[in-house]
Amino acid sequence: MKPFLRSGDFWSGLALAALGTYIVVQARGWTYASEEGPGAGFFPLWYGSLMVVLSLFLVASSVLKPAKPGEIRWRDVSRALVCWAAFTASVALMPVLGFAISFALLAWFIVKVMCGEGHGTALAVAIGGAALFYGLFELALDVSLPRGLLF
Amino acid sequence: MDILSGLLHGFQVALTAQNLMMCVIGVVLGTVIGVLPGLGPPATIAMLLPLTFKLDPTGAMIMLAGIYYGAKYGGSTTSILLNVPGESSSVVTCIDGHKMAVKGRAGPALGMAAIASFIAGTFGVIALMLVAPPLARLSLAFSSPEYFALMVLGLAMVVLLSGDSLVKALLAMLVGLWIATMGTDLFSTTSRFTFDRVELLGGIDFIIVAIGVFAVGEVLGNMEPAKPAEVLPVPKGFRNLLPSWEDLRRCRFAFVNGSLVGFLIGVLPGAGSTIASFMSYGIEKAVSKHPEEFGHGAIEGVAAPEGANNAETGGALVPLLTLGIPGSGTTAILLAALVLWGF
Repeated sequence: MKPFLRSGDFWSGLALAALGTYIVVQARGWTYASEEGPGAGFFPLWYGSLMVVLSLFLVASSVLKPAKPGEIRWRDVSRALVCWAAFTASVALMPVLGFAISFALLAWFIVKVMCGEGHGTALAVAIGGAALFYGLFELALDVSLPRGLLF
Repeated sequence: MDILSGLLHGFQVALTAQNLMMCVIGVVLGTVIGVLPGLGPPATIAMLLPLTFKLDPTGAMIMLAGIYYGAKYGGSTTSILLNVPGESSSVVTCIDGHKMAVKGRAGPALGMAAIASFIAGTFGVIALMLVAPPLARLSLAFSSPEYFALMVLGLAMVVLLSGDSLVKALLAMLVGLWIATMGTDLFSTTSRFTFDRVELLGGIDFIIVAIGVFAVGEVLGNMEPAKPAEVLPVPKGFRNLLPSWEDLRRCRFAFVNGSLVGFLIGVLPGAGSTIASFMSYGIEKAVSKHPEEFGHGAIEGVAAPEGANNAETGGALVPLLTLGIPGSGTTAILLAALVLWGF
């Protein structure tokens, strides 16, 4: 495998070039300028174009001067991605379960599964954390937490 | 003489036991709420405003002012200890503050944040008393081109914060601009990058992005099994809980920098304490004899932005008290409180 294909700069540069292209395409569909001044498309067109230029520069530099490929610890990467997925699932479940239960489930998952603590510790952190947030925001500050269908 | 007689009358009113107690209560409450990530001064004052309805107006205003200053300072606590910004203007404190905490210098970092906040906040109050009317007239002279130049100056600070790769720093800044553009354009009401989601019509709040970037990143970083969870080393001895004389000597320019930059930026309606803290940090790094230490636990990197953060408070009160124009969300709530009490 060519060294630049293992470079994070190469792939992130490509992703940002795609994002910049998307921004430029969207901006061209909006008004660039009018009698009142710059339109909705003015600013995005400029920074989108700059994003494309800089990201292609990043890609080119990673191809022409590939950095020494570092060791990728896939186990660590997978743990981070699993944690990220848990965050996403927690947010997705909030409209159904409400903040307190979703947060409690997320906290239990991180403490028990990711950190490898015992059942008691995980339950204490999950229930205690949810109760703390509920007490602080709902009861003390009278600020509503996101509610779900169940709670 | 009018100023002096007004000041003497003000001190006579403020330095009563009851009003001093209101101030203490306000500062403590503001600091406690300000510590919570995501809850800055506007939300803190808005939540605690009902508490003041049963108080006399003078005591209530003093309490609200205490809440304002306390919330401004409180944001630095989680920035330093948890690498999670307490509010938007404490974001830059995370850069060096947390690094100091990791090295076992959380106490000096927190202490320096308090000292810088006190010095700059005091400067802001004195400047407010002495130069408010002419500065208010100057702030009215600022219009769209000047605000745009100020924003460009703030973005140019990216160069100073770029570290090893300027290209990556600029790309990160452009991604940030893209996120900031999401929502409804104020002038044309065009929806930009909302992906047909109603939730995105109002845009994405800066503090949400800041907490997401810092806090989520911190959690994901601690998921690495190769090293145990990062527990901050506890400093031993009372002396290690406070900044040293050498720290104070190193930060003498940071105090001046934070005070001036914060106050002047705060005078401009709408500029905000976030840009003040970033500019103060950038200036401090630019003039430092040891710029390579910034980003790795330089105590000046805590003093300058935290000072600017609190000095901005005094500056923000200039257009409010002289022209009745609230320059920020917090001062808008204060204006509402003043109207409620008939001032």
